Amino acid sequence: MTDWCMVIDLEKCVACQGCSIACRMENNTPVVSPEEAKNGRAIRWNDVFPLPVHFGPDQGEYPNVKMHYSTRPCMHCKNAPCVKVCPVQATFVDEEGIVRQNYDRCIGCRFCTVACPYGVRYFNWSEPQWEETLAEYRNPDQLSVNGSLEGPAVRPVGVVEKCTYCVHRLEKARARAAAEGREFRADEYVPACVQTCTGKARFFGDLDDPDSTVSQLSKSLRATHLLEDSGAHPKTLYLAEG
Amino acid sequence: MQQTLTLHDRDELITPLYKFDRKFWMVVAFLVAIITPGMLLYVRQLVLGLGVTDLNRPVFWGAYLVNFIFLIGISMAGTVISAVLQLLKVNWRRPITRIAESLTVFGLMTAGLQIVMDMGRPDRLVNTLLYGRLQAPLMWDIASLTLYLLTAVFALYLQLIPDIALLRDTAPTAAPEWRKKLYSILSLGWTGAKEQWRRLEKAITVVSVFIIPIGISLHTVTSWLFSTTVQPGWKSTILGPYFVVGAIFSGIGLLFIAVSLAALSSLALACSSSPSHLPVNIINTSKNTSLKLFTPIWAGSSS
Repeated sequence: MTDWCMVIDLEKCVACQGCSIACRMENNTPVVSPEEAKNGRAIRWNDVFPLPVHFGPDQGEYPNVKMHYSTRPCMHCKNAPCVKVCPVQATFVDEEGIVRQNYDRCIGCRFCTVACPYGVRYFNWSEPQWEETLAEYRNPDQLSVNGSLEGPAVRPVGVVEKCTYCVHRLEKARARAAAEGREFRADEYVPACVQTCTGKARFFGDLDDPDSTVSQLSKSLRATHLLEDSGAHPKTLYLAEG
Repeated sequence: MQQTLTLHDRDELITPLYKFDRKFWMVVAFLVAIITPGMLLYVRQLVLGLGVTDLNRPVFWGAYLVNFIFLIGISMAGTVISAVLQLLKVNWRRPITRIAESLTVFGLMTAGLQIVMDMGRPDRLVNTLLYGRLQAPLMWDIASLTLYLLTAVFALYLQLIPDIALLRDTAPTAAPEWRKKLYSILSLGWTGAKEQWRRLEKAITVVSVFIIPIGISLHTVTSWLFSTTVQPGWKSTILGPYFVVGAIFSGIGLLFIAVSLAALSSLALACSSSPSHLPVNIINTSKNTSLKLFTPIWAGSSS
């Protein structure tokens, strides 16, 4: 069975925030005003943030200081707390290991946002809006499963949304392969952040396939998960900075 | 053997149900003045989204949930306390039980409303029934709250049957037809026979036995609902007993306030069917007993 997984090499990451922007454009995450962002209302499916710095000898001396950054998509946990607490099964793990969100069913109780140890789930506090002409460049893709909205089409106010490993891209790749009458290959599908990564720090593939890049990288000594003691069994892998 | 009312009692109890005086309309106007702005602001929240509240990230739950906890806490007072008094066969409970149980019912109704207000999509409330997943903590709460509310309404109704029969028998001829019909349906053919009293007492005792575990389950479920999250300070098993003790304490507090107000206005108690019990004395005795009982617990838990 396919088990989609992302590997992020923090040694290669240059913190350019390209993944954040690619994610925003691909998934139509709304833009909020600076005041709202200051109030904690910004929606960042894929956040790039500086790690807390402890000034000391290992950080170097000015001007040769070393900064640490990290980036954080959804961990797509195997034992996802958000799935367990959802009262209406609006969020679920599909058979290929992706934690997905049904925007048509979510009742907006925000239990998952409180339960997620990584804070990757975002609530739509107000009607989504875009500045000036930005709305014309929204991604027209749309993924509906059994008539329920899941894809990057604009989410209504009052529901929770999250990183889905760009699951609509998977459906598109599958459909293309079917139209051309051939088998679907795992390397035909990558999320937008992986495609755009400047330092080629992100890898994506099938963790169940022993020959894939991600399962090779998962055996690396640098491979680690975020907050492994949370009990959620996070899947997204990090290759720690050496 | 139906109870008979003196002329004075009839004036005090029955007449205000059919004739609304100026005082009544003033109270109504006062409450409407409070509710209307609230309704308008809620409509604003519905239109603009929950962003109009000061909730943000990581404060996803705020005043609404605090209100919810507060209201289900004080709702513990009524039904559970009166059930305990019923089972212990305490004599002075009768004037208090009705006030206590109404507090429970109205407290729970408002508590449920808080949850609906807190939801981002209240229009999808029915999804909890269509796609409900009983393993989810929120569903425990919905199940527990619904059960407690239904049981509390039932307990209150059982206590009210003799009174509804009294209303049916004493309705003035000018009373509207639908009210006479309503009273005669709701009184379930109550005549006040000895056998009927015996059965009613039995039924109330049975409901009292059931309502105590249900009440305690509501409070523990609500507290462990917080424990299932990963928020610092919430993730603790002590919350269960803490909520139950807090609910009993605050619930009794509200009960004293309500009973004192009722006694002061001498509405319900002064002309109750057992005039031999002096309400003020009852309040003082029970207040002192409970304070002696609960103050050490409270002081102990905070130290």
